[in-house]
Amino acid sequence: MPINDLATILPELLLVLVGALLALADSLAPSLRPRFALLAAVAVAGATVLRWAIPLPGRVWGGVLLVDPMARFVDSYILAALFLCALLAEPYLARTGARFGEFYALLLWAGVGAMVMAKSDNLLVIFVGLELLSISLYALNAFHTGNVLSLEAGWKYLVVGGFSAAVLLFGVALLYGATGTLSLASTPAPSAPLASGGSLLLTGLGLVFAGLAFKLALAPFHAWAPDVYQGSPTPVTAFLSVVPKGAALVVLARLVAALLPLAALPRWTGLLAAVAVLSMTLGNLVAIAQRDLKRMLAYSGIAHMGYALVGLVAFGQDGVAAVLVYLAAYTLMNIAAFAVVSAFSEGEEEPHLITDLAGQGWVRPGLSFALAVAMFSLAGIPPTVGFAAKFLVFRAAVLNDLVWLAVVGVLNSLVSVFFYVRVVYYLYMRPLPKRQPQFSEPVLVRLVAGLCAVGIFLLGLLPGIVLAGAEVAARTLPR
Amino acid sequence: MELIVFAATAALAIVSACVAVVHRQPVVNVLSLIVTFFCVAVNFALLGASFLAAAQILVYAGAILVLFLFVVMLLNAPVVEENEAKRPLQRWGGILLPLVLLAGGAAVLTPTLLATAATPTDGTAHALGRLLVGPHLFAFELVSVLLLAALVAAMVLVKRKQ
Amino acid sequence: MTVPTNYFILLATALFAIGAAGVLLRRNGISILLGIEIMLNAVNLALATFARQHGNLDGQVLVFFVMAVAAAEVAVGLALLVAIFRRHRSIDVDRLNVMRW
Repeated sequence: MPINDLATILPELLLVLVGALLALADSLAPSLRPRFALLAAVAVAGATVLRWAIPLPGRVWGGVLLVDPMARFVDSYILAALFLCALLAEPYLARTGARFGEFYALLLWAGVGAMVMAKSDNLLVIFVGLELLSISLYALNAFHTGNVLSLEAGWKYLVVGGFSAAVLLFGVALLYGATGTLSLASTPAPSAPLASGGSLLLTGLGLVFAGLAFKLALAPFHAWAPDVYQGSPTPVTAFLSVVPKGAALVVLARLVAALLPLAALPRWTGLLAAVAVLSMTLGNLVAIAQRDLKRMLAYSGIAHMGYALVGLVAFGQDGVAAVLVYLAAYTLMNIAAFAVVSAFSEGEEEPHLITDLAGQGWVRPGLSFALAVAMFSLAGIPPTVGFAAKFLVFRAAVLNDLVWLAVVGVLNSLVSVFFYVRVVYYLYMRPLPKRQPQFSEPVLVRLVAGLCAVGIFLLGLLPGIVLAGAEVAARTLPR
Repeated sequence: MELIVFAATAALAIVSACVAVVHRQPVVNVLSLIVTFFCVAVNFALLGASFLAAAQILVYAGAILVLFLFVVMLLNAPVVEENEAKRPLQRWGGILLPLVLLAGGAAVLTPTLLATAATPTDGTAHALGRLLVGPHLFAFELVSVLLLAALVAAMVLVKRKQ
Repeated sequence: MTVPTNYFILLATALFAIGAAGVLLRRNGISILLGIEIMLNAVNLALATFARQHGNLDGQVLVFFVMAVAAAEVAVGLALLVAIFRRHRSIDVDRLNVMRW
């Protein structure tokens, strides 16, 4: 068993090893520092190739890992996010004088944690993967230790992360108490009579959901998000805004799928729907009031996780496929937005005010266009991928008799157009200020923004490419 | 007999945990928490988890709390003035949430468990060890990556930039 | 006689609640980390209890992993606290409010 099993986690092994090598190389061969980003990116590309080259055997490692199409789909977008963030980080680290190998090591390990989470069937492994992701991120948030905001972001993420991990674990303990197993697949019948074991199970589910909701920054567990988004180094914010959320959503999907046969589920779906509506509404309304672009994107992220949750409420094959497409779309548009944010900033301690963007559309056409594309996509305007993703999610809701939820989602989308388009308005319709801000626009950041913008259009025009993969992936979940 | 031991350690655990949370001096917090962790270790032993009882004392009292004490001494930080009036939301949340948890725990969880009988398990080092390198081998490997990440993370945060 | 399962679960719930209160109420960074430790310990107690209830050791294995993770989290948390102390000369985490909540 060991050799065959090892082969199934080659991508993860590669990333762990390259991470360790980069951390070592930092002290052994400091002259290589400018190349660390490239090495990390190559390793991520290699891991992606491996993931697609290796067959998908399904259940491995004694049943704790599920290497299935779902895992491959989620891995692909986690790896894509890692690749883009590694490239984004290099100019940032060079500018702040902290070009250390440890940064990439922690970034790669965080990615491994997320990849493990997304393909595990065992609550124990999910927990350890989640903690690997979180602990690496605590240090990455606070990586710029000379910056007050960065330290603050690290501390807040750590306290919220530790608290939510404890809540999640208490839920895991109750689930274990109700079922006597840590495996999701063998969950179905509670060992105690359903009437009594059922309440244990439901309480446990609620706590696990609350723990994951902290990671997803769903309302009412979102309070940390704006501060952490604003304070963290921008490349880390880009990573943090997509990867943990994707992994947590997939865990949630597997959890719902495993517990679907239980009679008590409808009550639970009602809870999910309520959280989705609250997140969408609160995120969009508060985003309107934001003056800082990173904070605005934080609230926008809260709203977007609300939309994605609609797909999970609908569930079924089309619902899950819609969520997966949504995650891919969200990754592209968010990383594009944060890439431009990191290029359009004067200093790390400075706020990233939306008003600072005034007139940039004519001075820096390339990056501005990428930001405009990202904003239109986040708002869900065709022909971008944001529109396709939202369409799929709301269609899944309608098909599953949740018309009211789709209506709430569409109304929220309309509200959100206001603050997304406001950014575009500042870019193109406002005059340049007298004192022109000094922006650095590194080549790598432009490359990342360009790649994402192309991806947004390409997948927007041909959503079939990603949808086909998502449908295959969604089929692996039991219905 | 076991019931008496449980009652004594449970009461002591709750009192010392309260002291650990409420007292203003960090040193007192940490020392009082050692008592809590010791009581939990006794409870592990009552539950037949002999290995966990030992690990609890070794890992928590022996490593984690020593680390806490070390940092408390190292920083020699002044006592933080607790001015709660500034944060009404957190204050009420902090008082209400635990109460809700307690009430919920008492109301929802306990009646469901009364009827079921307990079956003994022997959590010896041997039995746990077999599980660790058997069904849970993957998690065991993963946790080694996690410890490495934590090591690097802690180092990154405190090293002085050149 | 053996102690009934629900007594242990009640104790675990109480400890969890005390830990949660500590995290939410205190401003001292060290006390907040201690609160998280109490919460994790409460979970461990519940897990060991359910392991006895079901007669399998999976719960005890999870406790073992929680201990390892708790140690890792404390190491990083304390390192962060040291970094914060160097910068602010205080471990009053309410001073970390440059940004509004």
